[in-house]
Amino acid sequence: MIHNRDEPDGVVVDEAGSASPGGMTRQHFLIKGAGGVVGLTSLSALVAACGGNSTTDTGAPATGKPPSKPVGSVSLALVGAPPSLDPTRSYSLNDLPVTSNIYESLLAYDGELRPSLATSWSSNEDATKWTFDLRRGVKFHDGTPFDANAVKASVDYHARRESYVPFLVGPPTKIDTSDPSQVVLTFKEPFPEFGRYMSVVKIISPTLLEGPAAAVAKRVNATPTGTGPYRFVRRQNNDVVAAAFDEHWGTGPYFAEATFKVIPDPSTRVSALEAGDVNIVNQIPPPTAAGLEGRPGISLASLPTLTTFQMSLATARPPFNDRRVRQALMYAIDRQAILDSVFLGKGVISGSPLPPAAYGFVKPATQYGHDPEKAKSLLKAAGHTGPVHFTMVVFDSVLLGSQMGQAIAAMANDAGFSVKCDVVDQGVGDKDIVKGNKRRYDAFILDNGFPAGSALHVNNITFYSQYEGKELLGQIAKMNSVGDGPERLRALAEVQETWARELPVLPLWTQEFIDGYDSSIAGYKPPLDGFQPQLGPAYRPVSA
Amino acid sequence: VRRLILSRIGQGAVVLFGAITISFVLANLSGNPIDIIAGLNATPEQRATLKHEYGYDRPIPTRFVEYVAHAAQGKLGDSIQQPESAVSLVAQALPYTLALVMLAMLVAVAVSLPIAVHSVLRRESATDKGLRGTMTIMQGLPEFWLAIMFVLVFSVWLGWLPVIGAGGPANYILPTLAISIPLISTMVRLLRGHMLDIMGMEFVTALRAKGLSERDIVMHHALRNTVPVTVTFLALQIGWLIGGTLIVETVFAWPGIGNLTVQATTHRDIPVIQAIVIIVAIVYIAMNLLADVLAMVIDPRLREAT
Repeated sequence: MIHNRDEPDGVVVDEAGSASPGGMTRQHFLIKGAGGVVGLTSLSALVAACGGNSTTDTGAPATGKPPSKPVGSVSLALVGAPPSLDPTRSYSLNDLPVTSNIYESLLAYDGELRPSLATSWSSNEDATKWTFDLRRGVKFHDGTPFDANAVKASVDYHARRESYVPFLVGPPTKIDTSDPSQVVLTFKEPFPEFGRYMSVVKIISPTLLEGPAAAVAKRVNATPTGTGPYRFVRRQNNDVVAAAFDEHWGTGPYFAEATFKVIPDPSTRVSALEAGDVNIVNQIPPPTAAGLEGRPGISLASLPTLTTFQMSLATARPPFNDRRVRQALMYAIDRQAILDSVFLGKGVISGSPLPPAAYGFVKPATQYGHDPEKAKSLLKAAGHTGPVHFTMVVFDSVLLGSQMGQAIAAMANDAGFSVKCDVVDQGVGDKDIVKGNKRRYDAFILDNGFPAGSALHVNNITFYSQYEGKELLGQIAKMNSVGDGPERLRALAEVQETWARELPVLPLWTQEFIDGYDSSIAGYKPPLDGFQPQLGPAYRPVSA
Repeated sequence: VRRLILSRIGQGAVVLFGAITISFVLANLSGNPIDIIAGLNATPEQRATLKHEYGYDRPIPTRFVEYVAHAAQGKLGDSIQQPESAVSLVAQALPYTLALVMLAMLVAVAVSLPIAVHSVLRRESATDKGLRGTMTIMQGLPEFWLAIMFVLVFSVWLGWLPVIGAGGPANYILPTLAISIPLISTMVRLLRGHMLDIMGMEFVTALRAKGLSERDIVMHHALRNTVPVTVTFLALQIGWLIGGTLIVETVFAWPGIGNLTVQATTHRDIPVIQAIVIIVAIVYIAMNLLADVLAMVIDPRLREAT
């Protein structure tokens, strides 16, 4: 497959935003990777969304020109102190808003892959060899020039032992940097998702990456240095202060200073937005956002994301080793009712493990409506005479997780199950999930992100669910062995169809995120993935 | 007096050792941070290597002895998450919390003294009853609710005060109020009760017989006698307040100890949690010592007793 799209002269490629990961925490990126963004109904809807049509602008829309040089400040609320500013060590809403304005990736994702630090890219037929042409004249914040060696240094850094995200870069068997403005990566196995993943992998100044590993790790966390529109200045208490990078190659920056303020309490985040203490708040829970509708001066954007809620089941042991029991649970859960009542309808149900606008999404023919009677008869057919007991867990970090868990448990109890549901701290849950078949819980509710529309989490079912069904695993292997194109699309369709019958992981729904921001700021595009707000193109108009 | 101070310092050392032990035991009960450091993708070998690098593969008694030795030298390790030492993170946060606590105490004293005096002078009057009722209600108001209401009214609706952070003097107002209001009600009840006890004492009867007005007795005698009680009460409250600011700090995104505790706990940043426990224990011990000394300076009976 060949992509070759350079942007029209110097136009806003950066506002596309490098799509990327976003679990609530870094571990989640691993379990769930995370989401670029995506359209609910179709790609065209998505592109329209990129144009800002998804925004409910309740204030007077900001008009006017951007200032001729960076002035004033903009601030964004973080949900917690960034555990690390090293892009290989943390992928969460605590840090992505910061790192995605300090760093850029080779590609960007806004529903489609677009050029960013690479101006064009291509892969060979079986996706084992990837070539990126690099933008010339780009500088890192420390003055280091951006070139093929910089890409190699960052790829190696992502692949190192301590990285949480080595799978994003392969690793390659060879990185050819003989031409400074082109990088060619060769992989042993086909790697059809690599282009999408490269919209997530952040390119770090190679100067920062020189020297002994421990010193490098400390430096990357303490003084993150990329090519993005804002450069890191300091951490101030929990907050992060960044300043305009005057030599940025793309659009912006238009603010002299960007601050990222840690506000752990969700209602305070919204109050701070209303009071003007911060300008941008990401991922506002739908019930809270409902109270903001119609507030003058505040724009709300509903973002169809690539984050899907799924329930992973321990399929190598009773009761979920029987497919009929998994199907019964699917019939038991009234997904639409939960979506409507807990999330105020902000999401979409498809029955596919992939979010609707991921590459190769199809709605499976096998669908499960809410049917408790059918659930009961399936349990009977599976030989269960009494209630089928299982334990379920939801992480406290999952948006509205405990409400969702209670609703699911109540519905399952009405359909012949007997559920014990716990809400646990993420650390506790993660420790259990890595135990494989010895895990304590039979079911985990996860919010999985699919970076840049990749099929990331489809690959992880043996990890999530100890699932070993030959047919599905064979289809997944086939899907991973060819580059994007008609053959891969067919393979993806097969995977989704078999998945819907087999249910190694129950697909619940794809979540929408709600972004709130100050209407007086122009040019700001809410991040389609909900995690990576791009401040580069944002500005306060200099008098209309 | 010196003996008393020395014995208090000795007691403080025991308490501190207890705090060090408890922080170590609790931190180790909750497992080691290797899983967090390694991430889910790590192989068992990588975990083992990390465990060795961070020293979590050694026996617990060995680690405990080393931990105590390091703690005695003020070395509490580096934060696992942030590129700084645990002690410096706590040292940055502590002044913000102490400032809030001290301000809240000043406000509480300034407000509760006049109320208590008024209440004693006009005891069982309508105003006294009204004030007592109000105080009971105020004592029952949860801090987090007060904090959120303050934000809603003063920041969002009226737009007078900033919501978050510790940027300027105006930032101190709402968090100070949210902490001091429950404190005020407790103090008023304490002072009123104590002054009423004093008013029933024989020397007060003597003063009345001398022809002093109720007002003079309260202002010059009863009030003075409440000072030691107030000092002791406030010293005891410091521990509660430093803990109690946790919720208020979270609501106001205040960069103090409470916020740091929440963040460190969320990220399993064990060195930081340990540093918080130990340093807060030191502050608590120091404040209590100071209160004891102050009480002796104020009240000669205590000096004679030792």
